[in-house]
Amino acid sequence: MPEGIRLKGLTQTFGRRRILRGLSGHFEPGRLHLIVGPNGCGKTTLLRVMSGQLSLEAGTLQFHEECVEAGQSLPWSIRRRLGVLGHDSFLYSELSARENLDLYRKLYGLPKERVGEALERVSLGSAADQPVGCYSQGMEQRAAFARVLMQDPDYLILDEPDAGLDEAGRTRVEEELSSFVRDGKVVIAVTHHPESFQGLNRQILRLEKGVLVSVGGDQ
Amino acid sequence: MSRHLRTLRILIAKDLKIEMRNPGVSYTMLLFATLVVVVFSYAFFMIDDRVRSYTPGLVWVALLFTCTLGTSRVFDREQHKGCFNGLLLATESPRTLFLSKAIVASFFGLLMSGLVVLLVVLFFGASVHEPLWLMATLVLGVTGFCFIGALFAGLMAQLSLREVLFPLITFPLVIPLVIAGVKTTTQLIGPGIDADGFAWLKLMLAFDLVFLPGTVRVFPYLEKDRG
Amino acid sequence: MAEGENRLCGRCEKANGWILRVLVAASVVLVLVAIYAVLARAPVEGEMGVVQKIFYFHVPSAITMLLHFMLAGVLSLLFLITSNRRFDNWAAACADVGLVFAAMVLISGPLWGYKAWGTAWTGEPRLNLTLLMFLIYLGYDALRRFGGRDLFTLKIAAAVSALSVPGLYFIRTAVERWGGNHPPNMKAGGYTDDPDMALAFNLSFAAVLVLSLTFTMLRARVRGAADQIETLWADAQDAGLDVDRD
Repeated sequence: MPEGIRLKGLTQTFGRRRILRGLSGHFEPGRLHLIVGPNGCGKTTLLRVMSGQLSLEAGTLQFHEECVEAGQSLPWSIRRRLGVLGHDSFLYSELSARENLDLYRKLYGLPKERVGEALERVSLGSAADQPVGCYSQGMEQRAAFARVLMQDPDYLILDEPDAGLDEAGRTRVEEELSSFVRDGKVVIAVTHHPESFQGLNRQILRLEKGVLVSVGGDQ
Repeated sequence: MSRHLRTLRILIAKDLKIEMRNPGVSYTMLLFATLVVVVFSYAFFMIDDRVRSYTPGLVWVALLFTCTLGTSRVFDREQHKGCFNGLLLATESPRTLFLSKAIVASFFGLLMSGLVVLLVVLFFGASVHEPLWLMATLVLGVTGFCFIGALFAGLMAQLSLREVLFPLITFPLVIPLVIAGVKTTTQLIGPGIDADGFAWLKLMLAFDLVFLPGTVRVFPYLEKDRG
Repeated sequence: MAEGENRLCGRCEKANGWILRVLVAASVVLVLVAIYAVLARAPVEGEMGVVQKIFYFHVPSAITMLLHFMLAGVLSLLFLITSNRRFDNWAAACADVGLVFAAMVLISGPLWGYKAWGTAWTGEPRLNLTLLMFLIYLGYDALRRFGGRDLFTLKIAAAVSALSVPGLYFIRTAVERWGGNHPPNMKAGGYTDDPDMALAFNLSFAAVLVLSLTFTMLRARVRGAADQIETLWADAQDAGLDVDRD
C-alpha cells in the first residue's frame, strides 16, 4: 500500500463556520499520524469526513488508488478496510461484547475465530459475555477496540483512543497501535497527548485554522 | 444478490434478538394500540350499530398511530452509541440497512394489527367475515405505513423536532392507504367483499408497489448527506 | 457549499433579469385586462349571481397550484440526484408559490360553495386533494423552517416533495372514488358557450399563471441571494474580516 490516504482541498462548512479550509494532507502507511489541536478546531469533523460519516463538501479523498469526490459516499471497497474508533463505541447495550463482535464479523464476512482472538487481546475475560450495558467506560472502550482489532482494517481512524483510560489501558493501546504501524497500515489518531506514543514512527500534525500543519514527529 | 439477502437476514436477526431482550418497540406499540382502542371505546360511549359502522375507521386510525410510533422506536435504539453509523460503515449497501428496519417495523406493525382487530371486535362487538382478505388488506396497509414511516424516521432520527415534524410529513403521504384501507375493511367487517372492495385493494397494492421500492431506492441519496 | 455552485453565470444573470422584467410587465397588463374582462365584460350568471365570478379566479388558482407542486416535486428529485442547490432553490420557490395558491383555492372554494350551495365544505374530491397537497407542502415548509439549515434537512424536505408526485396520483384516485357520490361541480377549462365568459376565463387563467411565474422567479432569486450571502459570510470569515452578523 504505497500511497496511503491523500487529502486534497478538503472544505467543510458547519452552519456558517468554515471548519476545514482547503485542507490537504498525506497519511503514509507504516506511520502513526497524530492530529492535535484545541477543542472545536475541527479534528472530529476531519475524522468524520475521512471515515465517510460526513459527506464531503469539496475536495478529494484518496485511499490508495481509489478516489472519492465531493458529494460521493465512500464505496464499500474502502469502507470494509476502514476501522473507526470514535467517541461512540458502535456497540449495542443489550448484546454482549461477543455478540456485538459476532454481528460485525458476519457483516464484514470474517472467519469465526477472529472474535475470540480479538476478545483475548483486550482481556475482557468473562465480561465478554455480559451485556455491554453493564460495562464500565474502560471496558466498553476495550470492547470497541476489540471490534476494530477483529476487523483488522488497512486504514485505522481513531478519535482520542487514550481518553479515559488508566496507565495500563494506555500502554495496551500503544502496543496495539504499534503492531498496526509495524504491519504497514495507515493509522490516524486524534489525541491530546502526543507525547505518550513515543517509540512509534510518529508524525504529529496540528489542525490550525482549517488546515493541517506538520509540527514534528520521528525521522 | 445473495450477499445482500444474507446481510438482510443478519440485520433482521440482530433487531429481533435485541427486541427479545429489551422489548422497547413491541411493548410500547402494544400498550399504545390498546390505549387507542380503549380511548375510542370510551369516546363513543354508546356502542350501537351506527358506532359499529365506524369500526373500520377506528382500526385504521389506531394502526396509523401505532405504526408511526413503531417506526420511530425502531430507529431510536440505533441512536445510542452511534450504532447506526457503525452499521452504515459495516454494510455494503445502505439500502439493505433501510430495508431491514422497514421489515422489522412492518413485522411488529402486523402483529399489532392483529391485536387491534381483536380488541375492536371485543370492545365494539364487530364481527369479521373474511379473515383472509382482512389480513391481506392489513398487510398492504401496514407495510405501506411502515416503509414510508421508516424512511423519514430513519432520516429524522437526530432532528430535534422529530416528534412533531415526522407525523406532519408522513400522514398526508399515506392518506390513500387509509382511505382505501377503511373502504375495504368496511366490507370485511360487514357484509363481505365485492367488486368495489377489490378495486380499493388494488389501489393499495399499486400504492405499495410504487412506494416500497421507491423508499428503498431513495434512501441512499438522502443518507449520504447525513450530518 | 462549493465555490460558485449557487451563483448564476454572468450571461444567465442578464437573461434572468430580462425575463423577469418581461414577466412583471406581462403580469401587470394581464391582471388589469383580466379584471376588466371578469368584472365588466363577462355576464352575471343567472343561477348563482355575482358570486359565480369567483370561478374565474378559483379554477386558474387550482391549476396553477397543481402545476407548481408538480414542478417542485420534479425539481426536488433533481436536487436529490445532483445535490445542486440551485434545483432546491427553485423547488422551494415553486412550493412557496404553490402553497399560496393552494390557500387561495381552499379559501375561495368554500366561499363559493357557501354562497352557491349553502355548504362551505362540500366534500368534493378536488377540495380534498387540494387540502392534502396543502398539508404535505405545509410539512415541507415546516421542515425547512424548523429542521435546521443543513443540506441534510433540505434533502429530507426534497424527498417529501419528490414522493408527493406519485402520491398525488394515488391521492387523486382515492379521493375521487371516495367522494364519488357528489356531482362533479367543477370542470377546468370553462364549460360554457358564452364567448365573453370564455374570454374572461382564458384571460384570468393567463393572468394568474403569469403572475405565479413572476412570483416564483422572484422567490427563487430571493432564496438564491440568501444563500449567496451565507457563502460570502463564510468567505469573509475566512479572510479574517470581523463581520457583524445580526
